[in-house]
Amino acid sequence: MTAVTQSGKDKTMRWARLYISGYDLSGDARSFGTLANGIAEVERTGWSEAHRNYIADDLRMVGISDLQVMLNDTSVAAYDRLITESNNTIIDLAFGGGGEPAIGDPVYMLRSEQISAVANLDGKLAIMSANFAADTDQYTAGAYNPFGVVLQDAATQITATISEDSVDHGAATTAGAWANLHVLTTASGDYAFKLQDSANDTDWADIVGATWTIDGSAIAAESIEFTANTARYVRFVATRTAGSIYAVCTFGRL
Amino acid sequence: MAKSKVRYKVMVGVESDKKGTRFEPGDYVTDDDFPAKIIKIWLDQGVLKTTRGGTK
Repeated sequence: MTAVTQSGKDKTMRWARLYISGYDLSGDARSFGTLANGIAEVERTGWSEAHRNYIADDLRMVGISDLQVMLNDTSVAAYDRLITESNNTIIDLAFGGGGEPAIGDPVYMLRSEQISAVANLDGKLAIMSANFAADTDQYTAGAYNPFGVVLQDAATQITATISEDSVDHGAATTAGAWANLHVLTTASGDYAFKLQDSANDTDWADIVGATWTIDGSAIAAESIEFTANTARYVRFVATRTAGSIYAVCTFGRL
Repeated sequence: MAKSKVRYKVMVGVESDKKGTRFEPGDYVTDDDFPAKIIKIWLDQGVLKTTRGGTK
């Protein structure tokens, strides 16, 4: 396996894909407002012109605003998944380059709390809007950077033990990293999942702490983080015991 | 008499795509198994640990 190459300025809404806690809602999604990525501010505005100041408090501000989906009420579709506002969701919004998001494509990663589920009409179409903020129950400093890359794409069925193509991040990092895994479908799947890193794209070491509890036996999602130094190249590894699955893995460095 | 080789204890799983080999935690590797540059990095990171003695 070799490191993938990035495809450049070809990311379009057509090939964006939305995964929420193990469910692919891409076909119901229409648009979103912004994918927040900034520093939270402490507002000091008072009842006087002398108080119009803001102070950055160094906390990362992340979230997805105004996600709009069709009001699809079939099982495990958008309405079914979003009608009950929920914390403890794991969202990945991946941007494919001229095709389904592939290994190496950018992704917005969020440990989220859904803070609204508003039904509306857009012209004649029934829609839902939802906002997602960072879930304080899930968030830690280890997951502050929301932009990462795809390490396992949803279009590829996993039927055997695999070591996927790697992603070249240009250099090693020392601040830790985090990763999300969605098991989208399973046919009696029984797998172990982990990440490996390498300095030369040939000799690999298992990353300490980069394993998931979920085993591919059911639709599920899990977000992990690890503090280990992470080498330049990273790849996703699935070790098969039985069955087949479709899964998405995303990875972000701090 | 063959020169003894330094061997290293594997602390996390490591593998080589080129050689198609994998070593689990608790196994031992030598300079023959991985490039010297990689072994140095792994020693710094705690992936490998130097052991006393050697193998022939």
